This record gives sequence, C-alpha cells and structure tokens, in this order.
Amino acid sequence: MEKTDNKRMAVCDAGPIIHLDELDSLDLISDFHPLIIPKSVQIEVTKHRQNALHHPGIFLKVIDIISPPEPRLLILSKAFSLDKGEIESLSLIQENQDAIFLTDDAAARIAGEELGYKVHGTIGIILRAIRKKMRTPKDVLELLNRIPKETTLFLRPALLEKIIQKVEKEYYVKK
Amino acid sequence: MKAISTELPDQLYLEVKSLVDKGWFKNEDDIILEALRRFLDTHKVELMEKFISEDVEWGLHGKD
Repeated sequence: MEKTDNKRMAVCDAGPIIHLDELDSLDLISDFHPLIIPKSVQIEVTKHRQNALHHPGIFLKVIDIISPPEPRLLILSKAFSLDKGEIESLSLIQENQDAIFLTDDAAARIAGEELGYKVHGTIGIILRAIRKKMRTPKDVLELLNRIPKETTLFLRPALLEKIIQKVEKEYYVKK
Repeated sequence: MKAISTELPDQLYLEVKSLVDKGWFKNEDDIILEALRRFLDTHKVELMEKFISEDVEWGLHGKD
C-alpha cells in the first residue's frame, strides 16, 4: 500500500512494541520518527522479544536516563506504582513535548494524561494503520482477530468484538 | 481467604525468588499479593474501556 509520509515523534514504553511484535506488525510504528525509548524499555523489550528492536523500518532513539524524575512525575509514579520503564518514558515525554506517548499500561496512561500529554495504545495504533494507508481494513480486522491467541495484550472479548464490528461497519467490510 | 494456584514463567519466578532471598519480602505469596493489589488499583474496568474507546476514535479518525 502507498504510505503517507507524515512523521511524528513518539515516546514508547515496552507494551506496544511487544504487542505489535507478537503480531509481526512493528512496521505500524515506523512512521513515528524518531521512536524514542529509554534504556530500561530497551532492556525490557529485549528480554521478552529478542529481535523486536532490530526491525529495519523503525528509526529508534534509545536514551539513557540519568537524572531523577521531576517532582510531579515522582509523585504520580509513586501514586500509580509505575515501573522504571514507564517512569523513564514519562520523563522522556516531558523532554519531547510534541511527541505522542505510546503505552498499553492503564496506570502509565493515567499519569501521562494527568501530565497533559497525548497517550495512545496498541489498539489505536492498529486502527490508525487504515487511516495511514499502511493496512487495508481487511488486514486490520485480521490483526484484531489474532490478538487473543497471539498476543499478551489483555482485552475483554466483547470489547474486541465491538471494535471489530465498528471497523466492519465504517469500512463496509463483509465477513 | 481464597487460595489460588497458578504457574509462573521460570524467569518471572526467579525474579520473585530473588526479591525474597534479598530480604525485600517475607515470602513469595507477599510479592504476588502486593503485585496483584497494585495492578487492581490501576486497572479498573471502566477506565480501561474508556481508554480503548479513545484509542478506537483516535485510530479511525485522529489527525496524527
């Protein structure tokens, strides 16, 4: 498919990278340029999916965070029991305020939104692939159907079915 | 109290055991209880469904 060339910066924690790699669909974040991750996320992803970060289409920027989180983030991270990767990702988004924060963790998402950032997850990235002409609606439906068996992304079956029906309805895809 | 039996991947178990061995927790049960409590604190059904709905809207109709 012909891709659009709108590149936008994103900071990502481990979840979306792992989940998209499980679906062999890491190219769906290739138009985030650069895709910024902290060193701790690099370690976490590599532990679970050894080759995920070697995807040729991704312009990855790995940052080693040295300074401690700023006070507001520190308070939020304690309140929401965020892990190291999530805290460092949020530190990076504070340094790159135009970036989108990609996470599948509910607590990290609350903290990110509390800090005023745009936060999205794997489901949004997969559906966005239609809009960005990276996948056809039919391809996206196939990906959505593979989520329960092939990924570690938690999603209520009825909710997944609702999403699938929405895509079918919006794009007139026949079953 | 309910007792739940589950299987942990080896690597995860080693990390749990290491925390107990180093004295951070009394036993493995305490870690699992603490982890579960923290997870449930932040993973409320309504909230997660709201996030997914926002994602669907962004994915299909967003600007970026």
